[in-house]
Amino acid sequence: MTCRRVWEAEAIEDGRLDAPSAASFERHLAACTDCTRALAALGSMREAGRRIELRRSSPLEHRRRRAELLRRANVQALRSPGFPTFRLFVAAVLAAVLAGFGYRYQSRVIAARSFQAGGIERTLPSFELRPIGTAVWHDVSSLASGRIVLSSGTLAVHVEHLRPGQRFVVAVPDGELEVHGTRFIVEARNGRTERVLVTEGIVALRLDGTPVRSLVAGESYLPSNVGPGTEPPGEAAPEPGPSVRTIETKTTTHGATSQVTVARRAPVANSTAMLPSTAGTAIGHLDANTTSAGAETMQTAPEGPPVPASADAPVAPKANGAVPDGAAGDAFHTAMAAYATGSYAEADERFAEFVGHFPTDSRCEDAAFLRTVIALRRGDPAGALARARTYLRRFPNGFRRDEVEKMVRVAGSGQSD
Amino acid sequence: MRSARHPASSANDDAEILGRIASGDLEALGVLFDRYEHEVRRFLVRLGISASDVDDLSQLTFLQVVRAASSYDGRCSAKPWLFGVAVTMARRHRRSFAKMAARLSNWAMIHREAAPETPDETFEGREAEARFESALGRLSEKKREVFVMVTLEGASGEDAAQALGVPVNTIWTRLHHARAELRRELAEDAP
Repeated sequence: MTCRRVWEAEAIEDGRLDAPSAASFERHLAACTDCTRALAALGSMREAGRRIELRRSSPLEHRRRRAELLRRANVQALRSPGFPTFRLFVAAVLAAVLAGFGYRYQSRVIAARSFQAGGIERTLPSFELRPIGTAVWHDVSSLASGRIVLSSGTLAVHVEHLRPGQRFVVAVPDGELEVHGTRFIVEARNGRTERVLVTEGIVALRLDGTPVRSLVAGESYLPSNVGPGTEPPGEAAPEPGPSVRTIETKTTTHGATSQVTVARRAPVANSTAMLPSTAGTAIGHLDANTTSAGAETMQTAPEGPPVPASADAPVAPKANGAVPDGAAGDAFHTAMAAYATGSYAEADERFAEFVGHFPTDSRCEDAAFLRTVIALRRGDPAGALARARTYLRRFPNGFRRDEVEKMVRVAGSGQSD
Repeated sequence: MRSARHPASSANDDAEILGRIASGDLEALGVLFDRYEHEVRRFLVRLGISASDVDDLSQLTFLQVVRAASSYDGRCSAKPWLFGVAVTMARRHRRSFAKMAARLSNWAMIHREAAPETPDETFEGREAEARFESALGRLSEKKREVFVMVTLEGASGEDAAQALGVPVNTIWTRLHHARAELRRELAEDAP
């Protein structure tokens, strides 16, 4: 016969008995095998269930997921107040209609071009290059292989997804990076790779004397790193946005023609260029001071063997009032690392210090932009609004102008709520 | 027999963090994520979500937190409240035919991430664990949610009731039936 009090085993297991009833039941347990067995069975059921465990993630895995969450949350936050989906939809439809009527305004991504090679159609990969600050590079693409030789400086690269047979490689002084449809920033200085930051897709990094390493979105490489991902993975890295551009068709002395899209912008701010992957060799060199005067030094040459990066590439003059990049670079990277891990308060402080110490550095624009994002992410629309206005005053033709104007609207709507 | 389940200080902290998230502070979302991500992922696994979907559902749970943070009234610690959000996400997920198809196609390839084995783990132990997991999987969605939340994750009946939006007596009833079914299933499966 089963004990009448056996139901209390479940009640005490669930914490439903008050203290006197629990004490009474515990005294009863000493003499009742039915209740003791029932309680033990409940305990073993609980323990069996708790053995269904999940392997604890490594700190890197956790940081990666954290960065992804913050990125998605930021997109969600930007969409919800100021950018209703309907408005975006209407804008997309309008854009499509305009494109349909052949409205030839500047396209952000260079269209792929086709070549006939041995009866087989080969298509160059579509890609977009934007120098951040001063950069010296060559485009030595041929047939279906996109190849950029970066001698020095920082390039933001966006490669459309590659089709079968296509390749895209960025050669850096001490190795090369191969990508398969991705978005990343690469920086080379003093003959070596200083930084690679991948924001989309996968990049295979092959540096001299080191094994191949793969960097996935959110991972970065710094020479001091022992391996990929040792720097905290970030969210979308600061990429320069579009500025006012003109398309020029240039004919070289060899008769080769290519379209070169050159950005024009105010002095001091970064310069940018969208360089089509030509069949020949292009040597690109842009500097903030020269671009402001409209003296772009973009040259194209007919198809031929790859040109060595160093010898005949123009030497990049230093940015206006430039300080050695070591200290500025360290300060900026420290701020970026804090930003990437979502430590916004610290990142804000570091960016402010950076701007204070290196006011003429070209990355001040990125810092000003990111401080606006930080204020928005920290739920401070008034601060974001003030910073956005400061940005627009200081960088009226800045790369991030469009985004900052959107942020002004978002922050404005946040304030009026 | 369980004792105090939620330290009050943690609940107070959580209320403050969720208040900051509600006001649009995404840094606070990162803090909440650091604090509860593992628990949420484990909870989802115990609810029967496959390992391939756990990461995505966990992200969706925390993204939903941004939208729902203003509805958090601070009466319980954020953990059971988060479990309530995760339950909603898991239910949506189960009802999504596309996800179901993807799961089926991945079924043959995916292995659940298991806890590392300890030397004293015996064959019988693993077999019993598998039997238990299988029995748990046969419980109805509602009974399983209550069993996992209260018995395995240690939420109080009141917190579970609040998180799931049902009266507390419903929690105890579901829990009682869940245990009875588990006992039956385990007895039938016993070698």
